[in-house]
Amino acid sequence: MRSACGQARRRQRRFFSSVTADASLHSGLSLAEASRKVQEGDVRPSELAEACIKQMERSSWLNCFVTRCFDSARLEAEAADARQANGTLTGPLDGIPYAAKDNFCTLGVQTTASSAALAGFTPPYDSTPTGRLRQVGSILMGKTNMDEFGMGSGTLFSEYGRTLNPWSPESPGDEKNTEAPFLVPGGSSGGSAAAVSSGCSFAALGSDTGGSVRQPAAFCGVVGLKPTYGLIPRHGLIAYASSLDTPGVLARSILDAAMVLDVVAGPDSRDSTCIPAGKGRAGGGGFASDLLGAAAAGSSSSWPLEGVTVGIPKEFNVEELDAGVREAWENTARTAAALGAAVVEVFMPSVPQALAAYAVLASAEASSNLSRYDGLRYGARTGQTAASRGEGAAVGGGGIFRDQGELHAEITRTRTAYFGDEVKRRILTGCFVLCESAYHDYYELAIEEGTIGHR
Amino acid sequence: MSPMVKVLVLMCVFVGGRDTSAFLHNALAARSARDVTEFCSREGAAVRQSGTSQSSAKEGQLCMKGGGGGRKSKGNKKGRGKVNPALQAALEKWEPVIGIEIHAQISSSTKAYCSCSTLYSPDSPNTNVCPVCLGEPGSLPVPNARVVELSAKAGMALGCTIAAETKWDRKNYFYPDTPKNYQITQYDRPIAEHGEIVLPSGKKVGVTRLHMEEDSAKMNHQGAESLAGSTHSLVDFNRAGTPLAEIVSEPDMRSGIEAAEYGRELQRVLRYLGVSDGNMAEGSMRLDVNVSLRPKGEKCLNTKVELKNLNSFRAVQESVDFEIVRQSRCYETDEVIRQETRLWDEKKKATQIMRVKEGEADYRYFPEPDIPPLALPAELLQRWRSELCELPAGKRERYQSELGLSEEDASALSDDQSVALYFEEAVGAGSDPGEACKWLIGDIAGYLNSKKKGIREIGLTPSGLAELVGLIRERKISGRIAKELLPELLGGEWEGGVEELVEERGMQAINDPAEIEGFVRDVMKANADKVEQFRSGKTKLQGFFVGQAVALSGGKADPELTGEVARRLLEDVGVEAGAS
Repeated sequence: MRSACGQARRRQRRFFSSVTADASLHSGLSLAEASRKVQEGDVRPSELAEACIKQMERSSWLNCFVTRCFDSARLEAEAADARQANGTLTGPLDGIPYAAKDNFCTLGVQTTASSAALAGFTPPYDSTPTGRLRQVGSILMGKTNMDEFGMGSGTLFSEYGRTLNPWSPESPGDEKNTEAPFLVPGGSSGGSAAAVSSGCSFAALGSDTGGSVRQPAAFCGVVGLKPTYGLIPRHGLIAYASSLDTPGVLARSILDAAMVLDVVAGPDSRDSTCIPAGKGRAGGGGFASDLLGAAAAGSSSSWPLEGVTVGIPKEFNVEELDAGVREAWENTARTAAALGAAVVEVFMPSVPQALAAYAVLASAEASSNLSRYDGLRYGARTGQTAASRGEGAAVGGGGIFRDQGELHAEITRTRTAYFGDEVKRRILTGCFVLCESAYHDYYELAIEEGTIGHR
Repeated sequence: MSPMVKVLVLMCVFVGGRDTSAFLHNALAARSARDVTEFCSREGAAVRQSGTSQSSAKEGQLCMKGGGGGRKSKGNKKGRGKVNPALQAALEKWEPVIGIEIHAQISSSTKAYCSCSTLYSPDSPNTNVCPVCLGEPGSLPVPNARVVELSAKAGMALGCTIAAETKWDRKNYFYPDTPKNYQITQYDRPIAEHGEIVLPSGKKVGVTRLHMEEDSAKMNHQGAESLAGSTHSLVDFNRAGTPLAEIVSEPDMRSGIEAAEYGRELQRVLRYLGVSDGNMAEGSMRLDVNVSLRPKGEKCLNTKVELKNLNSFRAVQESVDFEIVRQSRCYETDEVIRQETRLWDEKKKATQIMRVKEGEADYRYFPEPDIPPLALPAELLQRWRSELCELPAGKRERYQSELGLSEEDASALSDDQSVALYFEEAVGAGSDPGEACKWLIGDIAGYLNSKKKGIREIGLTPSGLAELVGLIRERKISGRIAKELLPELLGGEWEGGVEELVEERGMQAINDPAEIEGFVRDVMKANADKVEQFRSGKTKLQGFFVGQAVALSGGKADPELTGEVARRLLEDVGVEAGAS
């Protein structure tokens, strides 16, 4: 793995140089740079969108996207061009192309969470994060690939095939080599991470239930921001485990991520679990300007991080940690200390139990959240009913069930056919831990662990 | 290998390799309680109750049986009147144990967890729907503040303890009328529990709990009553997500009469509070009754049977009585009583088996992660408590102790809040309580029943009724004239005061003894034979003369005065009878 790293880095450099060397392509810019150019009239939003489209086509071998929105992106870009021309740009994210993980509902754009169960499902509404980005004029380039319903950490368990890490050692675009060794992009937001890393979009929305933003960001060498639960609303995010699901941002710099956070964060009347306005930092912008302010203030000081305490959780330093990762971690801590931060070791004694608690809680909630995919109202359905066997008249495209047994048999067939193996495993686990006979030993125990861990 | 073991093995497969950080915080953040003002939707609160009344029984319509002035027709008395020998026999050996679950639709213009309208619209199916109540991917429930308030108030009225912190739970089961395939309800921390209500008969019934939940969609099975046997089923999601209060009683009732009385009192309380329109025919109040029997004097609990499809309180009483007899016969013939659900067949007057409950279903309840627990601060509860209206039991008591009404009259008047308030306004305007009561539950009730009108739809105001009662008391009009004028006053054709109408019609009572004497003399002349009979001892005939004289006066002669005059003239043999 380590030996491959240097090689991969070289490939990646070559890959990016091909992007940035082309003067007509702008997709290698940071979001902040692209935004400044749009604001100053140096580049038109449609030029940014075309650059991303070109890059998406060149890097289609990565399989970052489930759905690409070239037509609607071009229309949105034109509208942004017009706002730029008459000086009515809404803000720094107007005209900026972005991508959204395929579990964010997007009005009129197919949303599948990479599941066969939702093939062809076109939501009648926008999720709050994508709706807020639409509101400020950002351009949706496409819906990124993911582990089905967010269940996985390699973007391997997708109905639409695996996504490759742009840092993979094999030369890009070589179709003969697709079966050759490759690097996973991480997951479940692997499509988003790979899209941002490969220059297909300036930023992307991801979601993090048990590391699904942070881990792929690390694998793909981009910034992954998993904010506090409740900061970015979940309305319109297809649920995996509701009490853990956290929309997040993948970007090429911390500032870029903060600029997106400024738009998508903040209370939403349609999500009861949001941090209420006035409690803590409930959003309302200012993340990017705070960063810039702090950077400006720090630039004149030789101890820019003075007064900042950085905690290093002892329990995270596990034996299995890759030496290279540990080295990078330690270097970062040293750098922080060198800049004036107080670096201290902290203890989180419940961490060893966290994974087990996560497994119980997440699968319990998933088993219930995913029960709506029965094929009766939307999404895929096998249709092996009396009607399709020609034993009765079909009604409105629906099936005919002569009794409850037949109805349940049809639901079972649909769920068996369209859920992937990993999803089925978690549903079974979730159903088990919620059973009366197991509830106390698993679910309640997991909640207890979670509570103790927070003290 | 059993499925359970298999699952355990699978679980181990994916426990490895997941990122661990930060979920603990989320889990806690998602579970820390919020204040009602912080996240509850205000839609319901903003619109209040407007436009939600789906009642076909007009508010303020007196629930009198037997048409106009049926004062003797309290439902339970009627029930007692009928003797059912089979039931009597069963009750000699067995004690029925009856508990009731009530689902009442909460009067909110918007649904429980979204802002869709709750308007009853069976003719345009699937119109009041949105991603939330259709359970579409990504949609989230937001609890309705109005539903929380009304549920808490109902809980208070039922003497319950209101939870300082309440929470929602998911009940998981697959059925096409449940779009998410789980119902958002309340499991271990309901908003209200441990209450008790006192029925008009004095019987006390414990209220185990009251919790908030959402209704399911309406299944329309084509070609059959249920899914089984139908050619196909249509689902109307207009009803999905409609807010319900489920009220569970203790198994404290001991007869069909008590069960029906409990239902009636609950309906009254919910209507008084504006919590629900309590309409049983339209299904906005549904009663499921659990019945079991035990040998008299024993404290055990036997297998219970659940009764459904009870569309009236009469059906509640009759079905329970039927079930008591049926179960007693089962025991006496050693037939096993199964835990089952039985439907009341109104035509056959019998319960029919619907399904056998094979063991308790495992609904895999767990805390609803999309709705944080809700704190109900003491000050808020105090404010809600202060907003509670006087309840039927309070009115019944006060009408007797303060206004001197009989128990029966007090119950009749307080049955409907708008009638009670009308009565109180009339008394406030100076009416004698007994007289106002007499008119309200007599002629006015008869009028309302025949015209299918509510008390607030009549032309006579409470102060008008007080005026009418006053005119009678002051002998300015007779009761008979008052009855005559009543339809005009109630119909609203006359817009002025009552006394003005009396003057307009020249209906003032005749209080001049001389004038009355003329009428009496005329009657005596026309009925010389009866005068003879009176004078020869048949003094009961006096009433005849009074009635005739009053009639002759067009009802205007004061009856009491006429009586005095008649007696004087009849007893005075000097007064000549026969034609002059």
